[in-house]
Amino acid sequence: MDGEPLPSAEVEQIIGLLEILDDLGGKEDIPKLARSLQFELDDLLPVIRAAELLGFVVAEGGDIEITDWGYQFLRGNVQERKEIFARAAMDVPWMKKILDMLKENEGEPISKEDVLEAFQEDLSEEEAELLLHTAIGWGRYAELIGYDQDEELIYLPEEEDSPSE
Amino acid sequence: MLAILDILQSVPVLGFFPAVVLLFVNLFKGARIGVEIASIILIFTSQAWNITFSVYESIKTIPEDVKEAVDLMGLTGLRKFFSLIVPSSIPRVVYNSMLSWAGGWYFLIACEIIAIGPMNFHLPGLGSLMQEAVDKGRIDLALASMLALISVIFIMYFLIWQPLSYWAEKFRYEMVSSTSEPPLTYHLWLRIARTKFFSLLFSFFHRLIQPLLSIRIKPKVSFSPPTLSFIQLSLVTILLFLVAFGTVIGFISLYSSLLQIHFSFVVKIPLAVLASAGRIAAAYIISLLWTLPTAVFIASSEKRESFFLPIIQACASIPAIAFFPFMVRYIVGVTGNVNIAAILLILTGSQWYLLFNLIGGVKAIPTEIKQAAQVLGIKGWRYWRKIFIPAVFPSLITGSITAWGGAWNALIVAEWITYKKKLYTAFGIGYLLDYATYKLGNVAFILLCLASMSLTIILINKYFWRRMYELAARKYKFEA
Amino acid sequence: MSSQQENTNLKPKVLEVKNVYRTYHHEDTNIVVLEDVSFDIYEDEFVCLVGPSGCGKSTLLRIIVGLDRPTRGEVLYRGKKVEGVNPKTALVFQNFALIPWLTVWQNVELGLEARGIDKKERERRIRYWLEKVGLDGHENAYPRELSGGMKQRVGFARALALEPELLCMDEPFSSLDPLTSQNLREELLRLWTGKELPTVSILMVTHSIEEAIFMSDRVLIMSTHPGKIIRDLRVELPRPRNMRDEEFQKIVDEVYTLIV
Repeated sequence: MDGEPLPSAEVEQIIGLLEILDDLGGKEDIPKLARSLQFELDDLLPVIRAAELLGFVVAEGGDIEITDWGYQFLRGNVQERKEIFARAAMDVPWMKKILDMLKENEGEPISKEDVLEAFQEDLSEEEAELLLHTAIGWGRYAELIGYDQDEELIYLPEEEDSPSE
Repeated sequence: MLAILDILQSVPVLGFFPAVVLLFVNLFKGARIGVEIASIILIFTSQAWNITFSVYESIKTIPEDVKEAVDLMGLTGLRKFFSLIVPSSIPRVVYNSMLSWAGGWYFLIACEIIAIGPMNFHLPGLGSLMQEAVDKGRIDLALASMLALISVIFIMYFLIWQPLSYWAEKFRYEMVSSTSEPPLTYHLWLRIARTKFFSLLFSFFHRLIQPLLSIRIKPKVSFSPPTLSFIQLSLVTILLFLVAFGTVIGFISLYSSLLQIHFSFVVKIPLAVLASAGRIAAAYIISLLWTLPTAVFIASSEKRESFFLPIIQACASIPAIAFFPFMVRYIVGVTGNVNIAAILLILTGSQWYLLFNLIGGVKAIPTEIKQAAQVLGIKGWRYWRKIFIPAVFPSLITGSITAWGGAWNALIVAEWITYKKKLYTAFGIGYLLDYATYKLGNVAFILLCLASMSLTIILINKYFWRRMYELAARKYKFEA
Repeated sequence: MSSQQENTNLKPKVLEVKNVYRTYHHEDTNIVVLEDVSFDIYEDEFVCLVGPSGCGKSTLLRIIVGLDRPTRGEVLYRGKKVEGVNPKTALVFQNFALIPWLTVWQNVELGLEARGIDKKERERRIRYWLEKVGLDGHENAYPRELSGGMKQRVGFARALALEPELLCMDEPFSSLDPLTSQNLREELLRLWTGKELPTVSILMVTHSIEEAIFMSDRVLIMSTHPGKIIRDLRVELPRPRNMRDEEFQKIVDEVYTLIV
């Protein structure tokens, strides 16, 4: 994982990237893309990495191209997108780790601290925090996991998440 | 470290007064200068912590990129202090200084008249003048001296605080475009600063500083709160000093006076603390009720704010003693109850801090939020409950902490009212402290009262105000 | 294709801005922010106000919504003069303007409560719009936990839940990074073209010409110091539009030359 940026991208940034690539015909040179968007390459790379991780794009030789899987995601409606994203995310190692931890805990909520500890086996404290933040964002979008900010607990969402007062 | 500052800030200044005076009087063999020094030290302590907090807060809020730039430029030690820390602190320090001065005036009175047991000191000044006037029942003199005090405050405001505040705005990090006119006095000061005399003075001062700027201070000033090594160092020194003289006094007076305390007195202490706390709570609630709407009113326009600010300072500076005649004649005289007078007197020493902070809080509400609330049609009670009060919550807490601090201090003059050589008291810890000072002259008992007051304050701070403060910082903060 | 505004629109008028001036008095001088601004908005229109910073477009928007008053001239909504905040409009802010101590759910609920809408209906609307903007699952999150894009979604949900006739937006995508704003723009347009929005018309303020041409049916170009409307253009490109299309670029160039 050294030298490569953490795939710390918001879901909407990933979707935005795919939409722009689609407009460009599906393929583009990465530095050119950054320039035309007036987006720092440093800020763009994590998003590309994330999209790669999920299988939505391939990045080779300085170019980036949408995959069929990526097009399927893009063309789907709101619900279809969530399902496709969930399927892709579940295979991402660190997301899988969280889901496994939840399963081991018999579906009971796990603490943010515990996950951070697990992440910190390979990453620094800062990186672990960032990765967890990303995972929670993806998980919430895909409705794979829920997060309680006050108690700092990660849990498996039930059918209807009712709002608290 | 914050805890130490916190304790120092909340412990009532006035209570230490007899002890400090005794020390200095002994040091200077009963000369008046001893008392003068004691006064200065005590007024200093009442203001210093407030200013320290302002500097601390300012340092904490220096934007990251500025810090980085300063480091990159290789500015360290004293140079960094003068080029970064001092300018960053200026806006907050100036704002808080205004109120610190008012607080200083307030306690001036108590510091100018000291009667400890058999000893009696009178320092020349407005304070003793007022006291004498009140003692002799000479309302005209009392009013005259009060007028003199208010005039001085207003003159100070227009000559010093107003232009100073305008100049201080220059040092703010937020790119707020100020549309206000510089006050006339500002131009006056600029002209003075440009005269030959002052420019010579400045360059002289600058040359003096030059060699100092290259000295590296050990330890270096670091930015990660709560370690502020430079300030920590000075505080430790002050603490050592306090400890030193505390021991000296302790051994001298404690032993003999210890034997003289009646146990019955000691038992009264917890009850007294409770009684006083109750009065302060009552005063606090009254303050809240009127300062909240008033803060909204005053903060709503720049013109209003600049009009009322000097007035608030003037009011905050009027010493409690000036109200004694009024209190005795109309409050005690009519209701026969000293309690009400005591509560009102507590108000005079505390409500202004609340108001001052609330005004700042109201001003700080982002315009977009106000507009959003307007567009959504949020009005009336709903607006107050869901938008306004949470929005000013942080300032409310800061103001409340300071107000309570001022209230504890005010107890000493609020529960012991003298007028025309007659004494009106309300039972409480302030009363006990004054009793121990004026009637008993018993140092041990004074210390005991002080200790119990300080302990109560520390406990309240720790278990209530701290929690509120954390809540404010966590939940009710506006993001940049 | 673009064309000069001719009143070929047979739909009823939602908004009429008539000779609006907005001046500020500072010391001895008058600063004219808006000068003689007039235009109409019809039903079923997505209109953009474009102009450089300082041209008064935000001020104009606030006058339309009722947060501010014109110094001269008037604004008519459905034929009636606008006095105070217009409940038929809703505003989305550039910096989101969310209440930090309220959750996503509570933020959206605020305006509904203030209107006296009963609990059941409120719940229905909040759930519906949070899902529509893609925030279901985040009901109990606080604004500080959310990314910029998500915060703005709350802003949208909050506005749309009120079912406004005229949705007003003040540079809603300016505070977001290019990828997120791309995403949000497309989602908003999808809702608009799919007729899933409760609004009749939309008025958006932006400083980006590309964005204006991408999103709207009509672009009102403003000059600055003082703010005046110098051009009223129809954009007749079919949606979905592609900013990298030749056609699109042609119109952008056209507009740039018009401004200069």
